[in-house]
Amino acid sequence: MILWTVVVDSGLISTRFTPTPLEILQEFKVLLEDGYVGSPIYAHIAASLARTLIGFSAAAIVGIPFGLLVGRVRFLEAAFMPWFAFLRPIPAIAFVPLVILWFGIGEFSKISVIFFSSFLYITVSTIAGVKSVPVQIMRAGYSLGALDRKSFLYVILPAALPQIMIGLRLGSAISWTLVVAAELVAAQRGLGYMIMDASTFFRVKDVYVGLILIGIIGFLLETIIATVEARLVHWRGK
Amino acid sequence: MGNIEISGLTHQYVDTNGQLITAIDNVSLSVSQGRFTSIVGPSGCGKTTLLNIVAGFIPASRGAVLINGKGISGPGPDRGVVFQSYALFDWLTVRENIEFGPRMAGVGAVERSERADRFLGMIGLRQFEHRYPYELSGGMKQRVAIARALANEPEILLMDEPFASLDAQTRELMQEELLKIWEATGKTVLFITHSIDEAIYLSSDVAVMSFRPGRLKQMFNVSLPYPRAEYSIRTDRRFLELKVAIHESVREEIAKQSGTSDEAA
Repeated sequence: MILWTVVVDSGLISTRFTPTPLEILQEFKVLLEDGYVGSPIYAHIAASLARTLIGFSAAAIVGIPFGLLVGRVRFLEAAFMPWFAFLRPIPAIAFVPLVILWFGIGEFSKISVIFFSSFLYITVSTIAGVKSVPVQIMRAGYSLGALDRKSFLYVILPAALPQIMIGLRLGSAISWTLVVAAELVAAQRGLGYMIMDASTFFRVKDVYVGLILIGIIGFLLETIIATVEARLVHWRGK
Repeated sequence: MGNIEISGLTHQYVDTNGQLITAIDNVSLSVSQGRFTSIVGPSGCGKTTLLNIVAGFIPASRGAVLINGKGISGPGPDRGVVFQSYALFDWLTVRENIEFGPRMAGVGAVERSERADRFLGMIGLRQFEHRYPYELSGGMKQRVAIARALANEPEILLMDEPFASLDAQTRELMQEELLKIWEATGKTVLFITHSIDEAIYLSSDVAVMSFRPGRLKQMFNVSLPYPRAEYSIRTDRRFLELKVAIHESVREEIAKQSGTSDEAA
């Protein structure tokens, strides 16, 4: 922080493009009071969060059962895995124009971009979780009377849970990261929107405020999920 | 109740090179109710394959396994299994692991709890009932695994080298523990091991299997009396004579094992 302030103040880097931490903090206060483009700052934060959480939750609700099924049925796995491998490297941003074409510029479009990306991670992790259940564990279950549906619910699902949680953690991280990309789809509110709008009008300090807020909230989300993970799958890695 | 009748059991499979491998060939073996039978043999003799077929995990290519006169159609709660790797459910406590079988069978909560109490007492781990498997030592884990299998009240217990992962002292203690538990519950046991000492100490019969294709080479009856908790039995003359005889029989098979890399299947 000090280094940053010193470098900027001494004029090594133009203050037009790099404000000092203190200036950013001051700008943040201003934004808190006056809002950005007519909306208070917490409304922007809330908009971004809402899109992220809805997209991510939907991805989890659809992705986990789907992954469980595909992991168990070899035919489905063979059918879908190539598609996952093919789709995952494509940056979500590339899908934005396509999504505008299909669904217009409403909330659904933005949420669908988030949904799609986190869905892939959650599903692939769930499949990996199912497949990594040791055969001895499954057999132990069989010999204790857990067959078919019972095996699935009481043995495979809990055994796969550590991997599923990893998928959820990845999915949540990528959901939040994509907020900026998703909000390129003509939003009026949101941190991503704020950054893009501010950069268009050279409101550099606002860009920084937005970036830093994204970083902090992302970190908080990550910490929350990591804590849930540590509690829920406490046996992992032991 | 609890009779195992293995007749003409054969298991073949095609390996990665496309060759037909016969793991076990025409094995016939009876284990009467309440008897403790061990199977020994060199690595690759198919003894684990045999156990897996009896457990119902893999199908036989030919032959049959009859339990109380009826054929098996997959794994089931009538045959409890104890694995070398314990295979405990990491997400459940010791008590929950033990209660798992009865829970699957729909046993009521009160009776489940009583059964768990009984078996926790039998293995001496009552203070650990709310711990998780990762908090336990190897010997403790295996005790839980045995209790878990027994709590489901199977007639038959199948054990696949259950003590192989334990250090020598724990292993000896576990052998004594197992005998006590067996004497108290009277199950029919089929036990796989590499240790001839262990086999003789525990069993009423020891079967020697030949190297691949695995056949029943020789059957030894262990006429030593039960209970055998005393260490002195391991140095009893009859024990040692049996040990020499079985060792020789297995030794012949091990010799074959090291020289077969160029032989045709």
